[in-house]
Amino acid sequence: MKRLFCDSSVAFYCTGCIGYRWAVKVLNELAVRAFHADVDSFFFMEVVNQYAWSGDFEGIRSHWRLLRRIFPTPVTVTVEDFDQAASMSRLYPEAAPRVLMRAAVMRRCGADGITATFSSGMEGVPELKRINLMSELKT
Amino acid sequence: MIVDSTIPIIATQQIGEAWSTVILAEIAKDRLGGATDSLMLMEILNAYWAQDAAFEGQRLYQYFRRTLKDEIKTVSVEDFDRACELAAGAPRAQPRELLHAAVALRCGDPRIFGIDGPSYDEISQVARVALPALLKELKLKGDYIEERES
Repeated sequence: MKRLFCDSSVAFYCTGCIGYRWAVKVLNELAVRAFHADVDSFFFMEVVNQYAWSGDFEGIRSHWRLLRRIFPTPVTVTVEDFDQAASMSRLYPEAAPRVLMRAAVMRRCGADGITATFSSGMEGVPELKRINLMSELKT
Repeated sequence: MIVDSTIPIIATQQIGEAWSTVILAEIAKDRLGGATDSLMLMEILNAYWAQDAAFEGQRLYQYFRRTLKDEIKTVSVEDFDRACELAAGAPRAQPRELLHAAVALRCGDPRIFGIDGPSYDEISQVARVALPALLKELKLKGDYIEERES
């Protein structure tokens, strides 16, 4: 079974561009497909931060709970994962810390790839094999 | 006591790296019984990367990581859930503040040391410790306090 990681940008994009209801459909679909979809614990932090910046504090509470139901077993990010991310940031200065942290978690978990809508510099990071979300959902 | 990410990020700019170094060294020596959580690591990297100063961010990261060693708590998924529960009673608190608060409560000491973050006051379960009070507790009466008192 393919093990796929979701970047938090999937949730930002979905809720921002295709609307909240569609976002829920997409993420639900992703979570129940034949491949194993995972997120890490900081996924939730990054998503709710988006709501906080836009002043949508109701969104924090409702979406947090919803995303937790969709992804009930997120992977905990360890301090060592952050150390890996800090080391990688020397090699890949263009990549956002969040994607480097995710690369470290994926390496530890043996994930096959990541799906993201905002790459944030992940193109240059060989550990992050990008998987197209729509292609996965069509198969 | 949990040290908020504002200490490495803002304190180093407002009160100088030397002071924040003293505080963190006191934590490392167990005089303060303090710790921080892994959100701080993420915020150091993010803050400097966003300002095109990734190199400086890496330097600071390594410095704080060496200083705090084992006093950095991993943020668990349950901490995120607790933060969400805390949000119900503190609608204007930032997610990062809620998360630091959740870790502090898990660790059994509801005090949080941070430079800014008045919205901590909204979270009734925790208490924010201001820098002058902390330095007094440590008997580190120095330039910073004298400037504020004058």
